[in-house]
Amino acid sequence: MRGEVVERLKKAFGEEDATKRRTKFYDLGGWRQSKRKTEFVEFSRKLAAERGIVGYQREREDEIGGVPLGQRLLENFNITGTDVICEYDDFHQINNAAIQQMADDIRRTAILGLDMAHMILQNRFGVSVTPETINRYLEVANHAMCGGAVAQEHMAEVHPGLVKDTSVKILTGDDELAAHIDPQFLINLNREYPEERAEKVKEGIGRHIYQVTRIPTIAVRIGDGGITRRWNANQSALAFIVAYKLGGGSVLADFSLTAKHMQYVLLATPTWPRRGPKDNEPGGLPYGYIGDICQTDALTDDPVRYCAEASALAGFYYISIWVNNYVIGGVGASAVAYFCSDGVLDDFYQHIADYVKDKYGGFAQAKPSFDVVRDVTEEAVFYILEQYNRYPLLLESHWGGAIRFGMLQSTAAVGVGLATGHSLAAHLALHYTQAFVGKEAWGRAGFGSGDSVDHISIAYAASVRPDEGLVPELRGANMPQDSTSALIMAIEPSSVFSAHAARGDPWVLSPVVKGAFADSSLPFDFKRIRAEVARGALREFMPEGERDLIKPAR
Amino acid sequence: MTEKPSPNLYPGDDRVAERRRFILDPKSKFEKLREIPDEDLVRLLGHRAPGEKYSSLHPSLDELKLPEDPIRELVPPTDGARHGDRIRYIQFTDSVYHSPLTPIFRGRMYHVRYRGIDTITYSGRELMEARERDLEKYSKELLETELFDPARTAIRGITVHGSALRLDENGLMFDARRRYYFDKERGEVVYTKDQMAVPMDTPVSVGKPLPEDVLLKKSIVYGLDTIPYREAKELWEVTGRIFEMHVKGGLDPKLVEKKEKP
Repeated sequence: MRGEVVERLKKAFGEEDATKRRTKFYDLGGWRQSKRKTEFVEFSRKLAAERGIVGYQREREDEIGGVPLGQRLLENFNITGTDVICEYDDFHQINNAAIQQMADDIRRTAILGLDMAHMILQNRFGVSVTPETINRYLEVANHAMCGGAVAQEHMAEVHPGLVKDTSVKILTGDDELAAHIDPQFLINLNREYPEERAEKVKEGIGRHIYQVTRIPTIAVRIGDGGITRRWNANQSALAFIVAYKLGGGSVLADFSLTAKHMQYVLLATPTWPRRGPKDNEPGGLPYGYIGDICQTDALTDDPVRYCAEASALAGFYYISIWVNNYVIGGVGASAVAYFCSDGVLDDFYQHIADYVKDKYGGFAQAKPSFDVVRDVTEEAVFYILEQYNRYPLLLESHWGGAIRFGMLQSTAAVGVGLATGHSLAAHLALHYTQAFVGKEAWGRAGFGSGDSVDHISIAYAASVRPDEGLVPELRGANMPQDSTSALIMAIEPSSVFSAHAARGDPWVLSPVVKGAFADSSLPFDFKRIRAEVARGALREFMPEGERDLIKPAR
Repeated sequence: MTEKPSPNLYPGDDRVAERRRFILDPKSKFEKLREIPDEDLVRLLGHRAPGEKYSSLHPSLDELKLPEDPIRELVPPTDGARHGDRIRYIQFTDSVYHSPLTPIFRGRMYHVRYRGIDTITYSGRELMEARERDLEKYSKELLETELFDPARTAIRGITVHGSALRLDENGLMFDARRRYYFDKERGEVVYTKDQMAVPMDTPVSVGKPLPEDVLLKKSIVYGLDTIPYREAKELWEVTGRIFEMHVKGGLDPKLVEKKEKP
């Protein structure tokens, strides 16, 4: 392991030697060693006095407080790629506004193809669609999407300050059209990406026109991702009616249905009823979109850095928001904190990337085979386990099976993805790691040792039947077997984005989704996932959807 | 007449593999290292007071009129089931620093060695459930033999973390609930709380920690301390083969079907 990673661990634990196996526990100050917990206790005491009901009582050492926290060191974390030092509690999704905004920005995204709507406008209504009319439509749509009335009189409207993060923009691969779109309404791929990548993304999108809408953050916070499609649909239809002066009965109904739904790009499918969420929520987002939503490849050609940032996105999205918030609630076991801290995962990824380059002559050079999967998986697993053997501090830091197997499985998948450029091979490596190699090496496995998902997935991997196999790009937390594990959805995307990164692909699953998240005016910067979460940890990230304008000042 | 095949319990010819085979063989006799009096065992489990009668879920099977069932003829009930005992539990946390067992191998061993149990494996701990008097019988073996090290193995029904943490200054596995301490005068580990961390009236000694060299010799974990991962070649050949067969068989069973001998 790189010296700087070891040094960082020593600093976090206040130790001179990372290889020592013995230490002192129990007299470290308990929860008082944490500034955050101290703040929580003091705040909660004041709250109890104010509201007359007790809540959080960490200071209680009887059964009310439950487990005595801080009997071991509550170490701090350095968020990789930044100089930010924070505490474990800062990674809880309730405590970190950046994590919330990351999910909100995905949740409130509506992507609507406009080609069919334009065709009906021209063929059925007999109106011309030109760049000028599109600009006019966009101006109306931006007014309507913010809650402005456009057709009906005497409607209640929305304070613009509450919905200032709302926008309707055009995404197209057609440079000629893009040149005529009002720049304020354009996701300018030529500006967002290096030239070569921009050309590839534009080629993927083609001469089609998409509307990318961000409905207000406050709307999804009041409702859920399911309202995004409807909010966008209703306001878009009204904007079309006004911008193109449309009237009539059946033809308008035909148009309305087409414009609203026929070319709607569903980001995430609804989950099963017991889980509750509708579309655009984390449970239904395919793993392939993680690689598309992550925009770090706009900053660097280094697949290792891109993979590390995409892994952080997958972790915060699926673990913090889906598992911790939707599935569990309350206290959070933020395994993902370790995915983006102290440079550890980056070290593992770099090691396996170097191994692949040395052994197979570069990325995406090895023909996918069981031999390659086994070879790279074994190297990834053995290397990491050897670091755990060498550095008890690292092992103490990665205190749970979910954390360790997150590292092992993700690194094996990234290694095979980089070696072969083949997502199915990488996907197999990920599951082979927990089902066999890591588990047999140590006689213990990951989260609850829940390797059923791995055994099932191995057998189903090559089958392409919905709910059983599916190509890895299309799999997601909504699949029956993946829904059984609290961690798997955070690490499975690594088998997808690594393979495509190795091939130099400009996108993973969809050039449209890739382009839609290239919009640098979004509150959350999807190019710098970890740095944004670090700002959230420092309480420096300013989220949208606030209610300051309609409530008394504190 | 062909020789009766012996079960192939675990692959590999190194000492870790050999020890794993020993653990997984239901006929193995484990070396007894300490004596835990029955009353102390009951205290540690915390399910009933020492001397208290077993609670029951149902009358003794001998008193019940049960419908005809051929399976009942084939499978005799365990003692606990016969008496209608409640189902109770014991949970062990195993330190990564060479506790004599690990959760995965506990699970496998429990399944082949103990009747009438249910078990669940976690990354650091293993829960066993059984009828109460069966549980006490199995727990006795798990605590009194070489399967237990007082310093690296712990009985924890709640707040189980600590398996991957460094050891304390006496070589004991971390326990946020401090159920036990190291008695320096006696050189023994003494529990003052039961597995649910409820203080006990009487402390219970579980004996002296095993020396490091003994733990390493009997370790069932591969790694830099024992047999390096990369040297367990037969194990990785076997796992690789199973993995490949599962992928191919899942896609098309014909790909892995055995060919009929002509």
